[in-house]
Amino acid sequence: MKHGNYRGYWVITLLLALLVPILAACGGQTAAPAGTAEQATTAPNTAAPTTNAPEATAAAPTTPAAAAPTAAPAAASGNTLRVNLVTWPDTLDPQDASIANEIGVLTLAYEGLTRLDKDLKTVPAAAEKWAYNADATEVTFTLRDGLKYSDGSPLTAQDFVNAVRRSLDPRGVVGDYQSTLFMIKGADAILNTVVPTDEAKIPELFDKLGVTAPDAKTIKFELTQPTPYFHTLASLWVIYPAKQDLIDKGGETWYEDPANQVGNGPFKLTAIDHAQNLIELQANDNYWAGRPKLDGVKLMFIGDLAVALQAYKNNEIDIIGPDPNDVPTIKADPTLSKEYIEPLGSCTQSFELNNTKAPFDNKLVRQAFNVGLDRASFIRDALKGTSAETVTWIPPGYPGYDAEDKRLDFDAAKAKELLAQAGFANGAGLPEIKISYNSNNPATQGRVEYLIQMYEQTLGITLVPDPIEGQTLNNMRKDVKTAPQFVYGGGWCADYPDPQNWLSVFWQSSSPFAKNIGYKNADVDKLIAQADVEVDPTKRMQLYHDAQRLVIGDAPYIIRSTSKASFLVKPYIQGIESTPQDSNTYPGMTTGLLNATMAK
Amino acid sequence: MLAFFLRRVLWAIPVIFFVALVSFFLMHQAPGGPFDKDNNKKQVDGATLKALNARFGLDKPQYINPAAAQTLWNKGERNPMKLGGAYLDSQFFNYLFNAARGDLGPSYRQRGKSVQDILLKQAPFSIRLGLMAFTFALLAGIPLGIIAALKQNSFIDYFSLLISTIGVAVPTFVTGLLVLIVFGTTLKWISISNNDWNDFKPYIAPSLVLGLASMSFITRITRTTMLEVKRQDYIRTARAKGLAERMVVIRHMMRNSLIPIVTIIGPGLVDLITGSVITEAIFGIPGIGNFFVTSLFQRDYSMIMGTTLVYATLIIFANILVDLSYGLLDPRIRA
Repeated sequence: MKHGNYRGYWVITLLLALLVPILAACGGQTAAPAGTAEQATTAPNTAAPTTNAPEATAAAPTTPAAAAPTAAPAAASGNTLRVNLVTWPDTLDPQDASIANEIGVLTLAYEGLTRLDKDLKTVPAAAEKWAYNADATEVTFTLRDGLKYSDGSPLTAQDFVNAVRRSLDPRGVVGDYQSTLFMIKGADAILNTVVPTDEAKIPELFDKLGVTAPDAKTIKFELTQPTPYFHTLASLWVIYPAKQDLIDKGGETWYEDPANQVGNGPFKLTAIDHAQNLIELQANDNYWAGRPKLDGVKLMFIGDLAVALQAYKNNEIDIIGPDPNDVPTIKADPTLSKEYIEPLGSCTQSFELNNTKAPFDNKLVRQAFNVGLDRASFIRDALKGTSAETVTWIPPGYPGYDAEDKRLDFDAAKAKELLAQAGFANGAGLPEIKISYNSNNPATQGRVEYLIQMYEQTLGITLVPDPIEGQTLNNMRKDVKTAPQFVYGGGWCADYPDPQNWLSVFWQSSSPFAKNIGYKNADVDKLIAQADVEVDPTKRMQLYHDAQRLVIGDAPYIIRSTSKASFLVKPYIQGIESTPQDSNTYPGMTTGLLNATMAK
Repeated sequence: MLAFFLRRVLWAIPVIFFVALVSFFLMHQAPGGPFDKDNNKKQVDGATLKALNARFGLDKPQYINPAAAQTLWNKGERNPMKLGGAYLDSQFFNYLFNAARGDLGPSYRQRGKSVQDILLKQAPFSIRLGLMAFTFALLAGIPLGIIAALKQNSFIDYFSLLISTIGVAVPTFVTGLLVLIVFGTTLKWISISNNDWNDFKPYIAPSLVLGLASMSFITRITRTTMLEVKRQDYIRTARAKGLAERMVVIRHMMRNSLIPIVTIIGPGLVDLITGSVITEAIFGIPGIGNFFVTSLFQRDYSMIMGTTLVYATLIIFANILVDLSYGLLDPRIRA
């Protein structure tokens, strides 16, 4: 008996030990979609589920904590908007946040120097104006008069300076987005400080840092390079002015206590209650533009999207993002279909081509594959309409979108011609082309098969399916030597609405993304370098426009579609100003629900 | 008995070490790390990554650190304790030493929080759910199994077969959703989204859903062992010496059929109280179930190790308790 039991232990423990990594491997798969942007999961504007599945259909549940807010009965919510944010945020520290469900809370409770409006234009917020010097290496923000925190205490320039310092502080939280401030003078000296050996130097380095408050209303940034888009960066959460004294008092988990979350946004955090799965905000009377029209916002965290749909039908919740699998049912339902919206998202979805591997080292072949992609059919049949066609890089709704460029539009005859020009008439002489995809997502399999059939028809080429475990594929794609010829997946999601984020960050030959596929165009580099330092907004946009034209002409990727978000919104909710930047959190997240009303 | 108990507890130490080592090894074999981003997303900047790795000790070697020991030796340090300490200044041993002191390390994702804080704060929700589900499974499962065995091939026997087949065959995400639709949307007896998990009432529905599978399993096992015991010679003896039927059932049949049940309920209880990812997600219970899965997805190393070690420890001690209870149930097993 005894022996038997000992053996039992070992078997159980061994199994357990073996199980963990297997699960870990599975995790990778879901956590690492083979690139696809269908789900729009990034940080700033991302889908709430952090471990988000790749393509639309797989996006469903299995996210952490789920349903269950307030004890208050559903109907008694008055003028308070109830939104499902799906996943409980890992952090509510503005300087540490990086995931959409975190930002979706913070954007209501805080405000940067600037904010984005419904057209994604950068507009004054805490700062009423800003001015660059001649070469855009200095920018000075002027705060509004009489700014107050939600508790009535004054908000001064020093509070923003503290937030910048806190973002860069290597002793602190080290948030994923601190790099948006790296162009500030003296930031690198702070970043290179070794903790704890040299940490005594940090206060001194902070004094030398290029962010100062000459008076209570003025904040001056000195930058190491011309940054004419800095005012857009000043809308990001990394400089939300969380109160230093409350942070110091609250310790490492200060952000869990709503009493410490005194902000300057349109709403104030009043409850962060994990036991009820509820984060509650109330209108901030001290907001500079006056009290918002809503009395409050209740953020709920129903992880199972099928359950969220039940709660929505039950009138327990006003806004949800439904499970993609439920969308056909919703569209067929007479009531729900009227409450369903599908705004465009922040991601351009593509297929990645390795520009150094045959045959995609040939620009004409890359163009042929772009022109030979029947986007309309692919999106209709394979993606069930969860994306919108596009043939350019910066998506609609974002500054720099180029509606006129139709060169990559689907045209089977032209595609065949391009292929012939490349010397592969009807595909003769082409090397084997493998289409590599994340094998962990069952939905991808069918889409890849559809794509193979499509290219057989339009180009007369048979691609070879090449399933690869998700995380492994992800790692392969991070080096041009191992990057596959053709990856099902790839693309980019906006961090902030400026062409710099789409072109300089991505297609400049020094960027990791361009490097990973071996894309290099000296003319693109030159235009981007000029644009990045150009102070005149019109000239700057023109330079980016020209650069984008060159990139699209080179067809480094197969550009496919723009992501779509999908929401159910109760009909009594009006005035929500949704933007592509909201992605899969809730409509109106970027604009802070400022003008939303409820007519009940 | 005490010696037996102590021996088992001591044995647990190498078992836990082995679990930690294997989990750690395999966890690091899985591609990717805790600060990875998807390829189409903004990547973590190099400087930021360096600071994060330094902060969480991921810049140290994984198992042993001969370089650090060498540096100390070259500086003229000859104290074997200090040299050994430097040699073991690695991710694995640092984790282990801290864990032995009850410090499971900081979570990489929920920054500013330690793994034990997170588990301690959210485990009570899972434990409440698990205990209720377990109580339901026992209180319904054992009597149903006993009755089914006593009235073999009767209506109640077939009924119990039906219930337990449904319980085992239908997955919780179906029963869970069904319960919500019927009792939440249609009958409006329960709230789908507005529940305070510090109360008792909201747990009733999820614990029935979660406990159903265990209940079914217990019913089947009870029935099978009862049927076996029923045919034993000592039961005939008991009847022959004129014991009342009730005494025969309670004193002889039930007690002797308990051993296989006790064997499965120990680990079964641990399973239930460590949380069910699916049940917790459907009903929105802020327990620890989801950590078992999400921490793996996110490569939150300290959370993976923490949840694994806690789970392993609970399983080991549940088994020790089960072994001890054998002795109480059957004197022949007493060590």
